[in-house]
Amino acid sequence: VTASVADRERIAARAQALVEEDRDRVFSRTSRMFAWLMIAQWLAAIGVALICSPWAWEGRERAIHIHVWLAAGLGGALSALPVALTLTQPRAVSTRYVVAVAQMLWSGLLIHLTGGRIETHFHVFGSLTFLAFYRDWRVLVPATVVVAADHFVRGLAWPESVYGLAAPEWWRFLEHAFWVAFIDFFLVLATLQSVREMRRTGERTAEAEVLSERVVEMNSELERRVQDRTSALEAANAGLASSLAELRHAQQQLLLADRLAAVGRLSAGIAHEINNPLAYVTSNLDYLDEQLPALIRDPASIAHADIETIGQDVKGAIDEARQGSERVRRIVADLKMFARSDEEQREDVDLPDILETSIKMVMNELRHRGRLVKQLDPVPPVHADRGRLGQVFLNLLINAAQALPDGDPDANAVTVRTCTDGQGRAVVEIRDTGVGIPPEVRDRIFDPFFTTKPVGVGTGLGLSICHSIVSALGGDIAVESEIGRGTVFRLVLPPSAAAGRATIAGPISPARADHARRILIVDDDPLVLSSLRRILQGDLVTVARNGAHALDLLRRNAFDVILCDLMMPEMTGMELYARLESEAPHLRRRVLFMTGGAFTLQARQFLERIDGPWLQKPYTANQVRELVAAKRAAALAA
Amino acid sequence: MRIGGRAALAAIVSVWLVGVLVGTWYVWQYKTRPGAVARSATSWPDEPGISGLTRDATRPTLLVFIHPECPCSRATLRELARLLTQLGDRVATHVVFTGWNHGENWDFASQLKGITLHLDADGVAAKRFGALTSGHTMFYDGGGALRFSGGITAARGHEGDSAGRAQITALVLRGQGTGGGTPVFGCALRDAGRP
Repeated sequence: VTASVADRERIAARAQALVEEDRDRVFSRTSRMFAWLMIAQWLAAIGVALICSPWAWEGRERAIHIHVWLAAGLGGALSALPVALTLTQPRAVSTRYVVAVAQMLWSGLLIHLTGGRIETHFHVFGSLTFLAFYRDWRVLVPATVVVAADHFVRGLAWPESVYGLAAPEWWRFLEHAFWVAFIDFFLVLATLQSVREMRRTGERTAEAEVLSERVVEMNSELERRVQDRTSALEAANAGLASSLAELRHAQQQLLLADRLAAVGRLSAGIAHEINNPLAYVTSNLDYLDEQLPALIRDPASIAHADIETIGQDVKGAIDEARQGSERVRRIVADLKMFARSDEEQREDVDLPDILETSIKMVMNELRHRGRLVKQLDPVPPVHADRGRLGQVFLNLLINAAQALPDGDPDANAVTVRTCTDGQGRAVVEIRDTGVGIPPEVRDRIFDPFFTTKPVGVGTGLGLSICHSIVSALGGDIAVESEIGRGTVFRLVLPPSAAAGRATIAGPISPARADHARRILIVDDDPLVLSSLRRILQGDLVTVARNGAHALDLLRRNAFDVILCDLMMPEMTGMELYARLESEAPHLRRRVLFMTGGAFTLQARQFLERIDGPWLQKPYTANQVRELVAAKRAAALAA
Repeated sequence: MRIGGRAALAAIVSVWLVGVLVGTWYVWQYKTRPGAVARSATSWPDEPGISGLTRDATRPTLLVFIHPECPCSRATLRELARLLTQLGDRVATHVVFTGWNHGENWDFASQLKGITLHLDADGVAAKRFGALTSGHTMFYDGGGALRFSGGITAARGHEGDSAGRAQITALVLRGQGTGGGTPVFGCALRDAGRP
């Protein structure tokens, strides 16, 4: 901190004030000391008089000695005024002068009371020194004048009392005055030096005070600024906290929205997955409804062999209905995993298990575009939220499925692979043989709201959310892509603390079943085939589990009605229809399509084009029979 | 301080100063007011009135009358001590205490060497020698003639050089003429009203 011109002026003024204060303190303190000294001298004088000359004698008669009266009276008078002034006006210059005069007169009185002892003369020098305590050289002037005047007057009138000589030289009083001046000289020097030091101390103190004030001002300014900044920061923090809370909320909403969007995009497939089992559950229940009244009403009319056959059929229908219900229950359970909207709940999860669920969800989307290849090796469990991880896999699988070109499922595949890397981390690879991602796009695919899909198909959030979920788990997501060859997303996730204890169950292969009769039923779901066969047991029913098998059968056999599922892997009902158009166009009218839902634009356009009824899953036995009868009639009419 | 206050202060200080100066003047007066002096015996009396108070024919005799309790006479005794220091045994010194007891002055004087103390209980010697005031000092030469009569302090109870001491010193050391007439400062040796 440096002093400005204004500061220097303030310092000078303050220093002056401090010196004045200091001098006032010195004057007050010295005056108090003199007050006590005056009283002490008075009492001492009375004491001396009482001890040395208590009585004046005239022969044998005595009276109080004049010294006692002098000590009490004159001494009291000498002390009274200085005491009064030092107590009432300790700092006044007049007080100091009166004190100086009184003190020197006290010297005279004490010298007198002690019989002119030379030793008492030291009182003069002591008094001068004491007066110098005022640090005011002017006080020494009246004191010296009193001494000089006393010597001068007495030198003239009574030289012996001063000089011890009856006829001293005329300059004798000067000699005495010289010695007084001698001590005065040093006392004045000391006084001036003391005042100079007081002034220097005052200046230093003033400088320290002013600079300290400046420092305090600067500090308070600094504090004020810090406070302002702190307030601004607090406000900003509060805003940020609020924004953060909103962002978190929005992120949660986005996560959920994305998940629901994904599930929504898959809703066609999911509905298909549910409608299929519902179809045969419903048809089997219809079958039971038809068979059981006859059995109950007149069991005796039925041949034993027939009863056995009917019993097996009824048992089969019930078992299949139960299986269908179980499939619906599992699908709903899987959906619940994606529908959870609550806070993140991490647990040790098995990646293949979650992948299986996600695959099931996306299977319908995938099956008519390409094959699914699963290489799900056991991996360490990962500590994560099941729903969010499922959301990641679902997004990647949907992307993979959508990356596959339509119409050539044999040539394309989505490969889902799990393995453990060298660091014990779980690795999930989702590889597709699709179109690939252009290099200029690759760097942006994890950006929010970036999408290459048509409006309404993608939100642009899927991969961004995948990235944030995987990053939050301490994992990493990477992409490799080659135009025209495909893309692979590779997730690396750290193992949970419980890694190594988990055991991974492998996928279970579905059971297969085949049947064949006069009506050709084409469906990839064996239970659908079985239930339809049961409904149409009065007809000659032949079943085919895929389009190729159906074509083969159609080439070799004649069928009145071809009941065909619309959405099948490898060869869809639409593709089969197209083959029939080219190979056996007369069979087209015999085709009755059934579907769990025409959820693609292509499927909807196709159904509009063929211009005829189709069987909507789930269906009742009567609906099946009516539509089959109608189709048959139409075919015959044609 | 207000002007009125200053004036009052000046007045007070002036009154005080005047009072103090008056007091000092009174002290001066007191100190310089000598005691009564009678005509001293011009020659050593044949009957001094005290046995033992005899003149030494071989040397001058210094005779000092002292009131035993007079505080002013302590200065005289101290001056006497200085005188004796200067004169040594050139003079025979007698100090006569008039009165009824020895008092503090006797105690002091008894410590001085080379002097003879006497008690003049009835004041006969004082009367014979013509001493009325304590501190009265007389100097008789070897022949018994009075050469000096007066005080040896400059003022009442005041120590220091004085004309009386200087004259006696000159008489003894330089044999110069006669002296005396210096004022005697001290208490009255006789009771008031006594002749």
